[in-house]
Amino acid sequence: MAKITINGVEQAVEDGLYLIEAARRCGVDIPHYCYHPGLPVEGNCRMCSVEVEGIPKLQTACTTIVQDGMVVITDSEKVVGERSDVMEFLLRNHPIDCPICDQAGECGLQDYYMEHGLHDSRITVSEKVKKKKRVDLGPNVVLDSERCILCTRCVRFCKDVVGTEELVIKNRSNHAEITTFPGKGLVNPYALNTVDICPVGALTSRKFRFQCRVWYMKNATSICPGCERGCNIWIDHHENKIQRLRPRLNPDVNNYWMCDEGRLDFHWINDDRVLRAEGPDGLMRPDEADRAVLALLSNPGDVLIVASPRSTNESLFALKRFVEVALPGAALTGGSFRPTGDDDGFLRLPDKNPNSRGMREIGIAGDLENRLNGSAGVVLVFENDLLGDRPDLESVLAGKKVVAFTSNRTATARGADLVVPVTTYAELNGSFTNHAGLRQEFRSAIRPPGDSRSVFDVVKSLSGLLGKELGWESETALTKEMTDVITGWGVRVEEETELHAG
Amino acid sequence: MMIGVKKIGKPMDIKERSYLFEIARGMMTSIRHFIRNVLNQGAMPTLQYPEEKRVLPERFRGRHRLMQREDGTPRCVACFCCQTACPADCISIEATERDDEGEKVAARFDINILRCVFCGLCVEACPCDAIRMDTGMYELADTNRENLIYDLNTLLRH
Ligand code: SF4
Ligand code: SF4
Ligand code: FES
Repeated sequence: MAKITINGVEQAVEDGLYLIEAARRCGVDIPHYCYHPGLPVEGNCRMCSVEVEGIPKLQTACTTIVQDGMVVITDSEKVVGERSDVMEFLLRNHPIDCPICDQAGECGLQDYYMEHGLHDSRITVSEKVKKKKRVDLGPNVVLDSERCILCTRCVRFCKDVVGTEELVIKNRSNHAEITTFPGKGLVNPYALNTVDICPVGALTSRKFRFQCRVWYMKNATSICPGCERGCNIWIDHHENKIQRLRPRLNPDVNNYWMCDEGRLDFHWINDDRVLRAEGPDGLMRPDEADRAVLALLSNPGDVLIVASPRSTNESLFALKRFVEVALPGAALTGGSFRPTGDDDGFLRLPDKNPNSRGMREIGIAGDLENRLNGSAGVVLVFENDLLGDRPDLESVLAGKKVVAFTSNRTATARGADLVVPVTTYAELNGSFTNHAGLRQEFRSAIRPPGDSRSVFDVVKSLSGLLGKELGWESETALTKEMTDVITGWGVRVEEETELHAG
Repeated sequence: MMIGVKKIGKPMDIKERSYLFEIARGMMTSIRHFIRNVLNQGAMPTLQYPEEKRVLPERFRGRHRLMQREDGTPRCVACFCCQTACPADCISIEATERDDEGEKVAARFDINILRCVFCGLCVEACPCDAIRMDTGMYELADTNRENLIYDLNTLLRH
C-alpha cells in the first residue's frame, strides 16, 4: 500500500497503480482521452496532466506510477488552465459536425469541452485542415479522419489486445491520420471494439451508423448468447427494437471486449418473429394453442421433449420440473446441432450455444440424436432449430407430430404441425451458465412481441390444464429453488453499472 | 401544491332572482353593439371567410417546409435535432448515407401534422435552417388522416 495525498486528502492505494487509476479509486476523476484501462498506456493526449509536488512540470497521471508520500493536485489553476489549452489544441482541426456525428451524446470531446474547455475558437472554419470524411477501414468500421484526435487507442487495441496490428498513424502533425497498412483492411473479428473505445466520433460502426441517436436509447444489462463464453453486454434499445449491443465490463469473463459476430447478431430478435400461435387451422389464441398442445399429450410415453442449450437456466429448470410433475413417462432430452466454431484463444469458443453447461448441470441429458431416432410420435421442441441446423433430420421428423416453441420462423417452425411463440433472451429475466460454470444473470430489455410467452409461462399454463402444480408462485421462487439445489449457482455476479467504462 | 376552491358571491336579491330585469340589461348590451356595428360597418371584426382572409403577422407559424440547397438537394442533414425537440412527437426521420462525401441525409422525413402543436421548436432546433414554418399555410383540413402525414417530397415542394 502507498499513501498518497490527492487534493489535500490522504488516502491509501495499492502499489504499482497508475496515478489516474489510483485517483479514480479514491473518487477523483481525472479527464483523459488516450488512457484506457484495458490498453497499455501511451500518454499522448496530455489531457490527464496533474501537479505532483516536487516536480516542476505537470505530469501525465496515466503514465505516472504512485509512490508513497506523493502529493497530487488535480484542480489547481495551472491544471485547469492546461486542460483548457489541451482542449483547444484537440479542437484545432475538429470539424464540429456534432449534428451528423453518431458519437454526439456520448462523446469525450463534447463532455470535456463543457467541463474543461468552454473557450471560443480562434480558428475559422476555412483555416481548419480538411481530411477524408468517410474511409472504409474494413467491412464493419468506418473512419472519419477529421474527427480523430490521434489518441491511438484503436491502434493499441489491434496491436496489443488482438495482435493483428492492422492500424497505424501515417504522416505528421496536422496531417497525421489513422490508416491501415497498404493492402490490409481492419478485418480482425474484434474490430468493432475500436468503435467503442474511440473517445470521439472518428470510428463508427458500418451497421449502426446513422441508425439511431444515442440519446434515444435505453440500456439493459445482458449476456451475449453467441457462444459459451457468455460475454457481458449492454442491450441498447429504442422503441422496443434492439439498436446495438456493446460489451459490458467483466474482468472475469470478457474484460472490456466482445467479438463482432456476437455484437452484430441481434436482428433475429427484431425481425421475422412468430407473433401468434399457428396450427393446421390457422392462427390461435394462446389458450387455444395450449389446449391444442394438450390434445397431443394424452399418452406421455409417446412424447419426446427437446430442450435447447440456447434456453435460459430458468426455462430449462421449469421444463424439467414440468416433465417430472405433469408428464411422468415422457422423455426429456437436450442438445444442439448448431455448427461449432474454433477456439481463437481470445474470446470466441467452439460451442455456439450460451448455456450448454447450464443444461448439463440442471441434469438434462444430451442424447438428442438417439432420442430423435427413437419411437416417440410427438416431439415438443423448445427453442431449438433442429431442421435449420441439420436439414437431413427432415426424414426423421416426418412421421412425427412436431410442436415448435420458437421465437422465430425457423426451418423447424415451418415444418412443425403447431407453432407457439416464445420470448428470446432479450425479453426475459434469466441466466446463462458459461463454459467456466459461472451463472450470469441478465434483465429483460424489451417487451415480448405479439403473444410470445416465456417457457416458464407456457409450461405453467400447460401443467395447470393438466391439473398439476409446478410449485412456484413466480419466477423468483423458481430461481431461488434452482440456485439452492445446484451447487455453485448461488453466487451472484456483481452488476456493472458504469455505462461507458473507460 | 394543492389547489383550493374558494366560493365567492353573495346571495341573490329579489331583482336578480326574478331574472327579467337582468335579461333586459343583457339585451341592452347586445342592442348597443348591434347599433354600433350597423352604423360603422368598416370596423366590424367579422371576416367573410373563406373569400376574405386575414393578413397574417410576419412571424406566423404555419405548415412546415423543408429548404433546399442551391443544387436542389435537401438542406436537412438528418441530425434528429427537430425530432428530439418536438414536444408532440410528430416528426419521424430515417437517416442514410449521402452518395458523395460521407454526409448524412434523410431517407424519410415525415411530419404528422395532426399531432403538431405549432410551437416552432423544430425550427428553433435546426442547425441548418432546413426546416421553416413560414409557408403561411393554415388551411390543412383533409378527409383522410394519411394525407395529413407529410413526407419529404411534400415538405420540399412546399
Ligand atoms: S480513430 Fe479514435 S481511437 Fe483511433 S486514434 Fe483516432 S480518436 Fe483515437
Ligand atoms: S433539425 Fe434540421 S437538419 Fe436536423 S433533422 Fe431536423 S430539419 Fe434536418
Ligand atoms: S490520458 Fe494521459 S496523456 Fe492521454
